[in-house]
Amino acid sequence: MYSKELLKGTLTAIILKLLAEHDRMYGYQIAQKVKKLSDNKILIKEGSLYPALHKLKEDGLVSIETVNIGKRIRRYYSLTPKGEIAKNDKISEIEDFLATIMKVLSFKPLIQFA
Amino acid sequence: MSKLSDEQIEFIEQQVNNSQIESVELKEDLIDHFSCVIEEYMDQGRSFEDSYNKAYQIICPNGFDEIYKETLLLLTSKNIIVMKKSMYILGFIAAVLWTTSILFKLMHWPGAAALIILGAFMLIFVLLPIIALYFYKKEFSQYISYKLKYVFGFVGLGLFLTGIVGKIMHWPGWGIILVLSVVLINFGFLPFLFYRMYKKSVE
Repeated sequence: MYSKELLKGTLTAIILKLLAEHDRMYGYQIAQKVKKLSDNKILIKEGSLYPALHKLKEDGLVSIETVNIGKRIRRYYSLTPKGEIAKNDKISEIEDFLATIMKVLSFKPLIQFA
Repeated sequence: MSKLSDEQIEFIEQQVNNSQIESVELKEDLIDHFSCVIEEYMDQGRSFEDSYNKAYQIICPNGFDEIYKETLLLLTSKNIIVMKKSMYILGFIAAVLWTTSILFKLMHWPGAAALIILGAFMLIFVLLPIIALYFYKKEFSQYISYKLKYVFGFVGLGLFLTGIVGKIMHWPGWGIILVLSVVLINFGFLPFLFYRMYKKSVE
């Protein structure tokens, strides 16, 4: 599992991307999907997931639909048009960031001193 | 696939409702999330109690309130920045007013009284309430002793400062205001402050 610090900046992008690919998703479903897609390497903590989802709602990037399942209330999150734009921005920012990190990490000096 | 009974869901609801979480939306999210995780464990042959305890350990080992605090922090971070900015700007203006008014008073220059009153007004009616509100908002606790601490503390401090200004300006009644402020601070603020500090150290 990756460190919390590494994942911190990517959580919003991951959520937005998943919501863009699904009509609507609920919290547990998002966490499970990420776990599956990442071969159990990214385990989103509930303590990060729900604060992030509520912040996205506050910013108008996702909307919520509630469905009663017996005594339970399930809150489905889906992407708003504003969220769609934010998703594209976030993803291109991360792609650019990853490319830069790769460039920096794979940098080899021309002259190596033994 | 296991399905929780109504009683079991009520039990989870009760646990979440016993926390300090005020947001209904977050409560609904957590109850559903807990239910899903518990059902997954029950599918592996565990009992409900065992599954609940395991889910609690995994979802919020430090209590429900941690998730709530994190959520509040994310949602209010913008407001907190605005409040902090205004606190520092107003604090700077009040400090300049105070040093200038002391200089005017000591030099017996005209306008000293007006400056003192303006500085005091800024401090007591503008800066202090903003600082009070900031602390009040930052404190997520629902404990009444926490909230009372701030109410008594800031009202007491405001009265204390008014009393001091009254003394400098030779206003009538400053003595009563000072006594009242010390009574509020000693019996309203300090007991709560020390009680909460003691509680915190024991926790």
